[in-house]
Amino acid sequence: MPGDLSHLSEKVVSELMGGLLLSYFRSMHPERTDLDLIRNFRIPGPRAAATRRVDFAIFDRSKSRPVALFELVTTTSSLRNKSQLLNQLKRYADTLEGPSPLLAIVVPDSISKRSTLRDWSKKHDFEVVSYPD
Amino acid sequence: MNSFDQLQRDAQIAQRLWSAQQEARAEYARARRRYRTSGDPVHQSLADEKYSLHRALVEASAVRLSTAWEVFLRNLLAEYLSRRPVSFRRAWGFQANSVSVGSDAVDRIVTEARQPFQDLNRAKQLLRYYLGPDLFSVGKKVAVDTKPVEDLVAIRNAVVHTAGSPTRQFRNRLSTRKAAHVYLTSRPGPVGSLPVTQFERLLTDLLATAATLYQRTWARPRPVP
Repeated sequence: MPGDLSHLSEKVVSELMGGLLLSYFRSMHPERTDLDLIRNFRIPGPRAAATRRVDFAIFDRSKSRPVALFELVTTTSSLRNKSQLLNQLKRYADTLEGPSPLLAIVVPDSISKRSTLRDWSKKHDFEVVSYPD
Repeated sequence: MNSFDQLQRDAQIAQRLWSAQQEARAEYARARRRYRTSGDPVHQSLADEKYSLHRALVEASAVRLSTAWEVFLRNLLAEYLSRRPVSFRRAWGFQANSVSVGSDAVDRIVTEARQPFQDLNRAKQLLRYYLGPDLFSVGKKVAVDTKPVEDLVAIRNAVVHTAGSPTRQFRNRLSTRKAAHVYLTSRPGPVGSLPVTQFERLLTDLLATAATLYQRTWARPRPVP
């Protein structure tokens, strides 16, 4: 399987994942420049204390705004646990002017085809990006 | 810092070069579009410049990653002999009760072996000699899959020796007639899956191979594959 990440520790995978996601976004937008990868990107909530962090963001320097936001979801139960964060992410994306940023959950291949995941992503308008495990 | 941590650091440098090539490629695409819409030859020149930069950085990424692997193997040998000098004593037939192996000794070993780390087979031979015959395989059972390294070496050799044109080794190993920089930017899997380029596939596979090798180096007993 190409790029199997199963032998790598969580720390190593996390280090790698950012670069892979930046590459993924660029493959969809080959003419975009001035892009930065930001880890643990803060998204505001209704109150200061409600600020949360999403795993990875692709930030457009020229427009000073994120153009893609990715959250790692390793199991279907963690999808349930992260539902509040993901809803907050959706609300945040709706507040941004101009085109909506890409919203995606990043999941291992072993769960990427599960109907619960696919149904959820369709309903909430999130893309599913998979990685080999 | 152990040899695997150092490899990760070096691999990040290769990944940054890769990111820089993507930026150059995007600038090339923009300049080309401007030339097509305006006909202004300035944009054509800029596009040519950016494409050259993109290609150079693609090839540099692969060579840098290949170097990172060679350095990892050398560092692994040094780390092992430093922590387990008894293997050095056994290999060299010393009778002394205590032996310590410094960097000079490792330099000497590597020089005597004629700088083996660029050649995977010679590197394996040297590592098996000091780290144990069961390091990479047990009988016919493979414990550490080095195929990603073999792919990377074929690419590196094509870049270094034939300016990226596919050598026979390259064509046979990778089943492609593409030039090295084109192959490295091509997609290895379906749309919507990571990684999106062959270079990144090699990067993650190389780290996985190194992680397995590193774990196996220290494991006692070594698991049977």
